Amino acid sequence: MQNESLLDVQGLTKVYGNKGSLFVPRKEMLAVNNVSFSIKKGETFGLIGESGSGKTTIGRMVLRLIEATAGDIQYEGKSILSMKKGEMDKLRSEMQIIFQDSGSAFNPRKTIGEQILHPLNKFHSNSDAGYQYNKVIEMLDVVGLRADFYHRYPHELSGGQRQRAGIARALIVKPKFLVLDEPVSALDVSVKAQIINLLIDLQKEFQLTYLFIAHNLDLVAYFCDKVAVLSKGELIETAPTIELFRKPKHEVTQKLLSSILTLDGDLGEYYRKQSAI
Amino acid sequence: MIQAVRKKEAFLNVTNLMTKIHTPEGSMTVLDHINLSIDKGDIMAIVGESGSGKSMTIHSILQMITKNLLDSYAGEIEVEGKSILDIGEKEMQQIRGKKISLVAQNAMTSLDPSYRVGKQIIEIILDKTNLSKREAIEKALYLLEEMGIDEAKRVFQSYPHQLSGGLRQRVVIAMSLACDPDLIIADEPTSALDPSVQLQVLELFKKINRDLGTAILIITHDFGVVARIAESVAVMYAGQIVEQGKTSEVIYNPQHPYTNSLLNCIPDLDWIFLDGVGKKPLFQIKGEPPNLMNLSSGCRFANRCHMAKDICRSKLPELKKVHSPDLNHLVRCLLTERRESYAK
Ligand SMILES: Nc1ncnc2c1ncn2[C@@H]1O[C@H](COP(=O)(O)OP(=O)(O)O)[C@@H](O)[C@H]1O
Ligand SMILES: Nc1ncnc2c1ncn2[C@@H]1O[C@H](COP(=O)(O)OP(=O)(O)O)[C@@H](O)[C@H]1O
Ligand code: SF4
Ligand SMILES: [Mg+2]
Ligand SMILES: [Mg+2]
Repeated sequence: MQNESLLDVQGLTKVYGNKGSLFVPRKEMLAVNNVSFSIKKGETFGLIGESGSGKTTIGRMVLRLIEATAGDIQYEGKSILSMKKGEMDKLRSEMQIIFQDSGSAFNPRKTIGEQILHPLNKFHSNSDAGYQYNKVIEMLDVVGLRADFYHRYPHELSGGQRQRAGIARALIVKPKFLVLDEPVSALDVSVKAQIINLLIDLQKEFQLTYLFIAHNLDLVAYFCDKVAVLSKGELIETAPTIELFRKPKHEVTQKLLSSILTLDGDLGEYYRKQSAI
Repeated sequence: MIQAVRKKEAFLNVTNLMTKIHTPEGSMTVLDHINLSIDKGDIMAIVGESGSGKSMTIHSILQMITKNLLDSYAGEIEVEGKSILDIGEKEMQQIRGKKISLVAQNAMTSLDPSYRVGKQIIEIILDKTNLSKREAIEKALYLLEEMGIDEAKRVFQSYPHQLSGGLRQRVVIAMSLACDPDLIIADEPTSALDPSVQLQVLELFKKINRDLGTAILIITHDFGVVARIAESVAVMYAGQIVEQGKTSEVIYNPQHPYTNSLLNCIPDLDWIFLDGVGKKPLFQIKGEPPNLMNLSSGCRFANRCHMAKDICRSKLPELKKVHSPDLNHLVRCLLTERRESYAK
């Protein structure tokens, strides 16, 4: 159902740094401060903000790749922060992440096929070799790579192809929820469009829910149903995409959106007029 | 008051540049008949996908391709009317040091993490000018201030990791100005930056151009960047220039299907801002660029071109003038060629 929420985040907070000791002074950094949002099933939820604003930290806390300092994260109504290891491991296959450069997450000495297979072995270790091979070929096909990519090595792929392989690896365990942390930021404009279109097709095909972190704001506008804006660790505004882009409430949001480049110049003029009204 | 029309002074002329490099599979022609000319004070852009040869073009101009990689250069490169392709490395260093500077791709990650920023700028100034140490310090601070850095002294004392990406990029640009160059070549200087910082850096290049008269050659894969800063643009595909001309002409009157496709890749935001306008599907160019070791005899864009005809697979189009208010608008496409010949 569209209206059920998949992920509810309440008061999420992250403090980085040491606890301090007799000799080392306490040095802490409040990276994410009391952030709350919820993502509905099947939705694409955008998270934007300048670099260092805490986007990656939130994405990683949501998957429990790093521990939250405070707050609550509910996935399908169950609090995941209090889950035991066994229970969490089961959930891990439902929640996957795609990074800016999947290439750097690949082992340079293993074939693409072996790496796509890796998470399947981790989560479903009892399947036989023939099944596994077919599964990888199927995933390659899903992301638009020919079967012969199975035997290639990461350095033989272009940036766009590596990103496709990264998506195949994330999808092989049939996740429901994907954190997309700047998945197209390092790619050419033309390849960005290819990957976004692929993600949209996959979302329809597999009923995926996305948390999309990006600084390509024109793509965020195109791709997301809802957008949240982070500034210095705090969520300053969350709104449906059209509303946010048409009438940003917060000055920081306005400034951010003003820097979108179109062929006719940046959007600064538009937002200056907006704020004059 | 009517200003006198400034007569443009030619600075860099590249004619039929061909660059070949060694690969395990043999010699590969990475640049094919590149023609560019940049006058003093110009702002020009080269735009194209990864692998199209943008970096190779500027590394050829500066003759920075390593001995192991380089097979051969052919054609002509002139700086202020003087051929530089066959001058010695010593003279070339003078050109690289005094006339043309490069802001390399990923330059901001190449700052030495173990030295303070100020020391690194001073070293470059001392290396490239005859200034004393004291004068070099003054110049370094002046350059940082020129870069719009409020706390130049603090930045001067900082280590690279203590600075944001935007500040590091400004430092790198300040360094490129150390020798008062006539031309700065910047290889994708904003691709890794936040949009607001990207805009600031583009403004900075404009300011440098305006205040110091420095010509700028900016490399990018984003037409939004081209539109924001460049007066003229060359579109590269698979080692060739496929379209070139005034930015406004190329953007509003594109003639090559590849240029058109690249322009279409910029998402249209009208549906957000205008009532009653629907959301259009996001345009993408299907497929990948050709392997340069394995080119057909036809147009290099043919396997991805939505306009391709049979002839495109066997005949290589030449870069030709098109009918346009811009007399230097050139296009490499058989269909445009045919249209032009009918129009005559
Ligand atoms: N492992 C870490 N230890 C200490 N500080 C960190 C760590 N990771 C991130 N930070 C800091 O937390 C803040 C938020 O970082 P991040 O979540 O990566 O932001 P974004 O993804 O929006 O660029 C930044 O100031 C960053 O320097
Ligand atoms: N060091 C290298 N070794 C082998 N091939 C290279 C090297 N550098 C560039 N190339 C090849 O030269 C062509 C042009 O590359 P480049 O100029 O770097 O493209 P761009 O800067 O437009 O992304 C590409 O086909 C690339 O694979
Ligand atoms: S020559 Fe043919 S294939 Fe090449 S760009 Fe023109 S129409 Fe397309
Ligand atoms: Mg991040
Ligand atoms: Mg390059």
